Formats: sequence, C-alpha cells, structure tokens
Amino acid sequence: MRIVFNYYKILLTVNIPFSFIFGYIYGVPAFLASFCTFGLLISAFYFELYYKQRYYFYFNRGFTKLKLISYSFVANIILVALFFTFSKLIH
Amino acid sequence: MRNLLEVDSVMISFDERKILSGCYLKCETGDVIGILGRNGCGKSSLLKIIFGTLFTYNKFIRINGKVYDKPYRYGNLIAYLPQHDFLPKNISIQKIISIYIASSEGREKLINDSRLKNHLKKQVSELSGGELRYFEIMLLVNLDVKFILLDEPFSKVEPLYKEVIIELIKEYRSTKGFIITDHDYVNIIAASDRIILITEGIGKPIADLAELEQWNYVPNGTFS
Repeated sequence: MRIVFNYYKILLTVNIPFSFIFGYIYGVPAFLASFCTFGLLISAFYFELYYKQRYYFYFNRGFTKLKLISYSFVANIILVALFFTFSKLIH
Repeated sequence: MRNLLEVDSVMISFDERKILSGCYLKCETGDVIGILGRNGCGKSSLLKIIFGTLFTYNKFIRINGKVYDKPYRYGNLIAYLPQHDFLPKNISIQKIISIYIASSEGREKLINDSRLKNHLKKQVSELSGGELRYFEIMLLVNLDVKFILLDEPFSKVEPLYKEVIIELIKEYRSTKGFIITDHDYVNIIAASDRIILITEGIGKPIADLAELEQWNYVPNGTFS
C-alpha cells in the first residue's frame, strides 16, 4: 500500500489547496465536501495532465487508475470521518 | 517453470489509418524477441496492447493457456518499460526500491548492485539518462512478473550502458521472457534471439538479417 500512498500524496498537493479555496469562500463543510469529491477529481485530472507517464509506475504493480482513485477516495473519506470525530470530541 | 505468452489477431487503427492488422507473436521464458519497424508502424502500440493499457477490440492475449484482457491488472504477469521516464522524481532511489520491490531478496539485489549503490541517496532527477534507464530496467526485472516488455530501452543511453542493459537482459532471461523494441537495431539484434519486423501492419519473422534490407528497413549493404 505504500505505493498507493505515494500516488495519494501527489493528489493531496493539488486537492488541499483547491479545496482550501472552496473552504475559504463557503466554509468548512464546503472544504470537506470538495476534499472528497471535486478536489479529488481535479487532482486526478491534474495528475493525468502533467504526470500521465508516471501511471506506469503504478500499472507495473497492478494498480489501475480506477483502483488508485478509489483508494484515494476511501482515504479522503477516512480523513473527513476522523475530522468529524475529533471535532465532536473537542466540542 | 516455463511460461508462455501468445499474442494473436492484434488490430488497431488510429483516425481510420490501419496501424496493426493481425500481429502474431509467441514468447516463452528465456526468449528475447526484438521488434523492429519504422516510426509509427505500431511497435509501441503493440507493447501497450499486450500490457493492457491500450484498448483495441481485436486482440487475443493468452498467458499459460489463460486469456487476459488487461494483463497488467494482475500485477504478477507482465511489466512494461515505457518510452519515457516513469519514476517519481521527488523521492530517493532507496525509497523507490523499498516501496516498489516486494521481495526482500529483490530489494537486497538492487541495494547491493554495483551501479546503483553509490546513487541510493540521490533523487531520480539527479541520475544521468543511462543510469536512469538502467535503474528502471533493474526495477522491472526484479518484479515478480513472467514477461517484460521494453519500449526503447536504449533510448538516450550512452554506449557503455547499452552493453550493460544487454547483459541485464541476458542475466534475467532464465526466469522471464522479454519483448523489446527500439530504433537502435544494432543493439536490438545483439540482445535478441528472434527478430520480428513490423511492416504494413503485420509482424514478419526475420530469419536472415538481409531480409531487413529487402523490406527497406535498413539501407542496402548493411547486412549483405
């Protein structure tokens, strides 16, 4: 799974700033919604546009684009769930 | 164990231009098959179709008697070296080895490799063209796969490293089958034990190198 994490980290570098802009304008729920949906899609699109060749790094280990994006989606959901859990605990 | 890859009936067209119209090839463990052909004849397309990342309706790919649509999805059948660099640039060679190679034996082999051990702390972007190509191929041959497809392994590689890459293919052919293609026909011929020339959309087995002249792939007098 470390190889998926390598892909996920690259997506985060685009997803976080993109979603942050959303959150800055529309608030925290918008940030979280974007982080799991639009932000993820935009970052995957960015990867496709600028690092297309690098997909072969993952293909050779049996990871398809769909698998990589699905794992990233699940990771984002987990992060958002953790955020909700911690914010409930704090409040 | 000997493995068998069979590829048949591969057809593909781009913008109504027929590129491949019925390629057949068979590769077993121990084989090194060299594919030659002019620019745009479909060499890279053929490798991508075999790997499973280029879609075409017409293809038949069978490994050890089982038909596969996208062999790369299984992770233990085929590895593919694309024409262009494919490794992440922002991490060290050592880190790539640790996340990419599943077996500890494979990792040890790479870490102790005489050509790599001085570069382990470097990032991929710091390697020369030859060092990078060598590292990419070393990674692929140490994956737990049965067949390796190399697309232009000699591209942007200095002559010394070309010899090293040929030696590497020879070293690993006892456990894997190789299909390689490049415009550097001299080194393809040196590395391969069978040559297939793709011309007019069809893969023609070359028994005598002089045939490459007859098919106008090399100038007359190159081999005769």
